[in-house]
Amino acid sequence: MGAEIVIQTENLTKVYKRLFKAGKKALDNLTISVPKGAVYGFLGPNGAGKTTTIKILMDLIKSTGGTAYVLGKPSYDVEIKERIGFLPDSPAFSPQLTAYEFLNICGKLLKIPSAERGPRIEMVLETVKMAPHMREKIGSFSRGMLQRIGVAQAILNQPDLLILDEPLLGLDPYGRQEFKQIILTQQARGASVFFSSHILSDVEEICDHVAILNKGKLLCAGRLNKLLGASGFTAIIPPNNDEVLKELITMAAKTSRKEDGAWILTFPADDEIRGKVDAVVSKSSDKINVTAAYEKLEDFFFRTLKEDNKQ
Amino acid sequence: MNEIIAIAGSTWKNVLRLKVVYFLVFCVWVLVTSALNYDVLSLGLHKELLVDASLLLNTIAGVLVIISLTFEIPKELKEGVASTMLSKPLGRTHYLIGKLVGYVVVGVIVCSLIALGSFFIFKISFSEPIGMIMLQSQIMVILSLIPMAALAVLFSIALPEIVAPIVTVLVVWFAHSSAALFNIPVVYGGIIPDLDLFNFKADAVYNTAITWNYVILVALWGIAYALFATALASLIFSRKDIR
Amino acid sequence: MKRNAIHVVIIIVAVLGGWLLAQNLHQKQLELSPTRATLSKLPLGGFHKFLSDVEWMFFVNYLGSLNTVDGDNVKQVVSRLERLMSYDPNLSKIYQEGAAMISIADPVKTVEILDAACENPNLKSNSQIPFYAGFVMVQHMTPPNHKDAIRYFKMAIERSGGKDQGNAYYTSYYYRAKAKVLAGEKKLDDRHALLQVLFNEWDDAILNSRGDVPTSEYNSQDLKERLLLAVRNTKNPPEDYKPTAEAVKLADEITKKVFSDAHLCHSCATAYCPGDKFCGACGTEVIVYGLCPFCKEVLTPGAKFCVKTGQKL
Repeated sequence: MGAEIVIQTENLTKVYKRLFKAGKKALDNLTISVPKGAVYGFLGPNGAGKTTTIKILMDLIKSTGGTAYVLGKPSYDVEIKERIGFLPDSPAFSPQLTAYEFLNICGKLLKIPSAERGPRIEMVLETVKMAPHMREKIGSFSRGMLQRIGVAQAILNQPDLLILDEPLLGLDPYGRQEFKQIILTQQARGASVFFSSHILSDVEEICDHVAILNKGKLLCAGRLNKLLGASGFTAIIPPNNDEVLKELITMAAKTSRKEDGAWILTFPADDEIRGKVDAVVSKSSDKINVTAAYEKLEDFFFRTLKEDNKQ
Repeated sequence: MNEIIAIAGSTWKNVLRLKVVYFLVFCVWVLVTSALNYDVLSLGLHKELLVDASLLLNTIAGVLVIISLTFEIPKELKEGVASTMLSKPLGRTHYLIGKLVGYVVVGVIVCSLIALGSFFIFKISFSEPIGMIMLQSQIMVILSLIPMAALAVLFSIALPEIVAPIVTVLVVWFAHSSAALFNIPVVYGGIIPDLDLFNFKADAVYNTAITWNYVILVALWGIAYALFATALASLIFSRKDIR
Repeated sequence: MKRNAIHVVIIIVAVLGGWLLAQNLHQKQLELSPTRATLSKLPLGGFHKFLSDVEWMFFVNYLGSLNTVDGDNVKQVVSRLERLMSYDPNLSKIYQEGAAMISIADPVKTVEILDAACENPNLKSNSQIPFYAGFVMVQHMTPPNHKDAIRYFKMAIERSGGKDQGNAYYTSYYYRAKAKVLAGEKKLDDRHALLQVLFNEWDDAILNSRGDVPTSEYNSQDLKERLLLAVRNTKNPPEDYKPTAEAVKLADEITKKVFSDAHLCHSCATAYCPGDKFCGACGTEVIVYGLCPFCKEVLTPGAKFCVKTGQKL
């Protein structure tokens, strides 16, 4: 296990036992690695196994098979949780406690020295914009406010690893913006972030790594730009360069024309075609840009799922 | 230890801020006082009735507090409060012990309030000193919360949410009559609780003396039984998925 | 795995420790309140005492609804009483007030219930319960049972400690029960038998300190008064009573032995005053006492000097 990996699962499997029915496989040999310092998006439709994976990583659910390591230690290691921040999918806290009291208890559990605890709590409440409500009972908070308190307790111990399950759920657009900023701040501090989300545009905006899960199986995982770029490449042919256009258009998978008359040719991700295109472009007197065709994450996500569902 | 205190602290703070707790205490005081109305109907046994009613109602109030624990743990597990807590460096056993201690503290506070109120009502009504046995039997009621809370923890972990409170009530009820199992080794007092060991209600009424030695021993039994029930609960909980 | 093993070890140790402690505590509890063993074995959740309180109020209410306890309803009353006893055998009202209600309709059951209460260690200071048992036997049962009544009256006297006024009541019944038994055995009339019993008691208890009734200042005075009354009734009998010669002889013996310094008329056993030459009650000539040895003036009791001459006595 490399020192740069913060989460490592190998053949992680979870079968939920059911009375009088066959067990339901929620995770099927999941193997992922999350590098240190990454903001790792964990994607998949409902029931894909995201929450199950996260709960196994937090030792809330016991795996049926395989192994899970977090920050170099088995996921059931209690002490390692001092270095982890966790936000569950629908955060709920003792309703009769005030936000400050709840965070104080979290601070005690996280073994934050009492002298340091108070200022730290005030700081995280400032960060999540909940400082004015610190003496109010949690029971009176809205869904969004609870989410903020959830984030506050997750970052209270300045964790090396943040594991967040649907953190953007229930937040308004401002809240989402603030939250993304918090994630990036945590990353800048040196923390790794592993989170699941349905809001693909946000994931695309802040993640550098993603994994897509469907029906408990990992479909793909890796650096985001690599995954999105792998769909092909494009060449923009200036207007009136018919010679090059003629040679390349037969290999293109998709063509379109810009307003100025330039052609955009999109080629499939094929090394042979890429070689031919590069040869034609190098001979041309005009400057022709050949760049990787970055697919939108949303398109990539749906395409990957569609392909998986076809099989 | 700090983790247990933290969980226990959050538990008792959370429960003791519920107004219903104080309403319960008030209702018990009213009911204890109402025993004074039965002097004619009981042919002058109202003093005895008051002492007995205070102990009986205190026991029921204690059981109600303990029963609320069987609702609290499944609710915390279901709603995700437990997930948040257990995502911190907190063992599952510590969580259970914290809940147990938290509810025992709540029970001690509620039962002590009821006992003090009952003593006050007795003193005002009869201008007699509070007998040692009255104090001891109230202490016994409070001590019985320890094994009862452990039972509640065990059932709330081992049984479905709807069944746990019913089973807890039934077991607590029958545990007050389990002395019939006296001759069965290991089962009596070991696996099946004997809460009748804490029952000195009649003795308090008749001012029969009990020794502090007995009180200490029965507290030790309560702790031993709580240890068994909590260890069993912890064993089950350690294999349980928290969804 | 290691953690599971620790759990299992804790469970085993706690179960064994709990069991041993519970065994010990169970015994201790029975020592502290022995009547626990007689409580209803129904699973009543430890609320036996409260149920007894409620059941007692129902019982009082039920009795209030009856005109009388007789053969028709005595079984109902007995079953309620038994239920009460199974909830709280220490509730003295069950015996003192509850059992009394069935004493006429079912004296045997009454005594049975009261006898159980007499054996109850928590009620061992209660003198009324054995007294009631004896009373029911004497009042509602045939003479062969009176020997047992003596036992209950004696128990009542012992429990009252001979200090309270109730004790006089108990002793009165005790002597009467003894007299009835003696009368049956020796074919004596009741008054003669009572005189004999009282004298025997005096002889045993006061003279020889081996009697049944605990000796105390109150008792000895009480016994002496009873004896005096019995002696008077024999020597100066009411119209409806003709004492036998043996009875009169016994009365004379008692007067000599017990009341030698009491200045009683030897004919009617009435006390006479210093200086009296004849009994004021029957006119019999009596031995004069209380005169100044020098001038024969009547002296006041306890005088150290003659009231007429001032001479030192």
